[in-house]
Amino acid sequence: MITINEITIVRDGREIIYDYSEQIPAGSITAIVGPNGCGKSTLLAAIAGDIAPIKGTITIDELHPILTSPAQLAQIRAVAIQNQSYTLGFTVKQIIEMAGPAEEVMRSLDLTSLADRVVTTLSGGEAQRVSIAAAIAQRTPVLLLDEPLAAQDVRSRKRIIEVLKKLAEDGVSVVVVAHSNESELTWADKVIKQFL
Amino acid sequence: MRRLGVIAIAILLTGCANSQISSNYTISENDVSAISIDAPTKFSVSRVVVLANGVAEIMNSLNARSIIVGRDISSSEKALKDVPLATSGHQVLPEEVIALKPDLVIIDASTGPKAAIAQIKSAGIRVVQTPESWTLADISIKVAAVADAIGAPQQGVLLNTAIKDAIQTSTFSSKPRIAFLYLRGTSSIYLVGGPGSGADSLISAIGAIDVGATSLPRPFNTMTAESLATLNPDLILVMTKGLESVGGVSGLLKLPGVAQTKAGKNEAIIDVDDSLLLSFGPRTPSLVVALGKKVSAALK
Amino acid sequence: MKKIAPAIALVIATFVAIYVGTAQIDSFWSALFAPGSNEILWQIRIPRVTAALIVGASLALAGLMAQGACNNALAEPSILGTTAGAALGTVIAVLTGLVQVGSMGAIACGALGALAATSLTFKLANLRSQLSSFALIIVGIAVSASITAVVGLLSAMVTRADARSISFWNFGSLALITRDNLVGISITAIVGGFIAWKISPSLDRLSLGDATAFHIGIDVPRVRLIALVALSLLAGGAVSTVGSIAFIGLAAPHIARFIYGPIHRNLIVHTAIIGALLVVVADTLSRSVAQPNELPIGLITSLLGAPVLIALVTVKNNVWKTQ
Repeated sequence: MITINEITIVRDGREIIYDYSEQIPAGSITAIVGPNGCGKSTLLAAIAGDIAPIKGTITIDELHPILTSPAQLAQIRAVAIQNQSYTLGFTVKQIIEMAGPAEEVMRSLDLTSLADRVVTTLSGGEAQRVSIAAAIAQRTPVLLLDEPLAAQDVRSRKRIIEVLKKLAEDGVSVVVVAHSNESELTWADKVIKQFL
Repeated sequence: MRRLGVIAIAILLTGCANSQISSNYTISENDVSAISIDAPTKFSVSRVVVLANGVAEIMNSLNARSIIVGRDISSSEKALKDVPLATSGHQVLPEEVIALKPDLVIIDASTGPKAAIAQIKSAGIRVVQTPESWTLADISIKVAAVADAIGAPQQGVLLNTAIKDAIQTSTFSSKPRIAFLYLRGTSSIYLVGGPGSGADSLISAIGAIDVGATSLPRPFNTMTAESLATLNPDLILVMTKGLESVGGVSGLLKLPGVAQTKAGKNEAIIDVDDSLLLSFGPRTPSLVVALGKKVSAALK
Repeated sequence: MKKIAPAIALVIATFVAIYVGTAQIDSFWSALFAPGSNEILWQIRIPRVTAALIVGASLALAGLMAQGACNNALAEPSILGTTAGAALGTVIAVLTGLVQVGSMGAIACGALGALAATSLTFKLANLRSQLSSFALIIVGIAVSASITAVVGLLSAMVTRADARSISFWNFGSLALITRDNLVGISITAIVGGFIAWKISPSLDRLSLGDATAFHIGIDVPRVRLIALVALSLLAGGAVSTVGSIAFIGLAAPHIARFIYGPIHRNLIVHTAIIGALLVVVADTLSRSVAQPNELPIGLITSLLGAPVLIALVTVKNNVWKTQ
């Protein structure tokens, strides 16, 4: 359970999020939608423990991400950021294994054929899938994904959504930042609309 | 805290000296004396400006000190302390020279700038160039040239004879093998003297062997650890300031290659005053004797 | 075959280095197997070649740490200010009469100077919160240049042989190595290498970017700090004893990655081998090309390293993505 309690987040001197509260239960898929720059990624980052609210608190099962060590935090939540880029030539399998066991998640996301490909040679969509796979491989109760479907074709989208649904069924809190409008988010149990 | 910083910087800027062990075998200017002629002499000139290295010394030995009215910076003998300088650093100042109203100016190949010399000549002053002396053999030529220039050729012959007679070769049971090292530690310049360095003629005059002169190609050769260790001299000859610049005997022994030589192992290092070692003139016989004695002492 | 080539080349290069020199060694092979027998061989040449190996390995590993910690292909000890800091730390310590070049004290001061300078670069480039490649390189070059200028000024102002010369600090030299120097640089190489080994997996993860590395559990500032300590020890020890030898820290890790791939743990040994190879070859060349003169080793490593830099940009290579 992710509990967000009256948080205010300031970035570059601007109040991106003001006095916001929310509860995100376990075993569900929550989508955060809205136009560009409205604070979706910021909210995700706050839940991930990357930035601290200047007011209010966020807890994941009573733990404050902002006060938790990186190693401990990595056992509780996993993140797939937007635009993950790779500088060193590790293979897909090696990248995923930095986060957790790779075999199963590669299979479920159709990456097995790319297992030995060097990540710097992947297309944008493939790289994004690798990033999602790594986050899932971390096997945490909370999974935070920033625009995971953006660069994917229709088939991959279906795949990813299936995987997320299965994870939610197994009790994971999946939080997805999405760019689409309401009618396409049937796979989400809850939709949070963020307005500036 | 700030005071500590100031002290640290002060130490830094004065280049806090580290411990220097001076060698036991040093030859300074006080250890040598010049051969000279006593008889009063008549000269053809009465006001001489000396702008050549070592010429004032020769004139002193020819009993011609009284006719020297101007000098250059290299003529640094105590006897000439009161004679006015006609140079700024190593550059000749023509106005100063002309103002002294000399009837003779003595120069050598190193005197400069050439334009200043030309100016002096065009003022109608007689300028004579004497040869430089880089080896023992050159001394008599230089003495003769100076004596001729001041109109006392006979005295030149007498002085040359006296100098030749005064050079004593020492006898050693086996000829010592000596290497001459030119050191400028502050610029990391380390050279071994070879044939024609000047030190070689001094070393053979005392009856020893200059190992650099026998095996190296040039007058001055780059010293590397291995090349010096291969030469393996019994004794190392250096200039005093050069030795200081590498941190004295202890500093010299730390240079790789030195410690592997016989000289290094026995700390057989002789340093000679810089202005003395390679200037060949009336003090050379005395230097040869002093050097011979030090070599014997160092090899015991 | 390509993979064991550097190790084989290193063994050959080491033997050639010990064999070559201005001095002729009588009965070379028997002298080689009898420690201490031939003075020139055992007190001058072998210590020098050993130092070349250790320094080469240290500088190469330092470069690996720099590139890993900064997630930047151009990072190396001289760009980050590390080598300049090591030189300054050593020169100041020598001038205040505390230590002598090559002693353990000098190495300690060199390592401290290296740490201080690199920390300054990191701080000014604001790396602890946000990694900015551009800022890092620019700030590093500036810090390095300033500190190098101070070292040059001190060398010019204070004329003492034991503080070495500008040429020594800028181009490096193994000519003044004696057996006593070997202990100190061995210690920094081993300790630095050990630390590098331990943080290798974390450096792999750092390549994903600060944000992602954090997300998978890496304490980024801490790993960076540890890499910095390793870097300072390795570069500090080497530079304070033999001066600054260019390009090894930049080129050796890249060559190693090209052959062996990006996994840092694998790269530790291979980078060290390649660094040692480069320096041993450069030192042998510096001693033999213009006998009896010795060419400054830093000039030769630059000549060897420049083609590497060019190859970096032109040869298509998947191991490091260069923009």
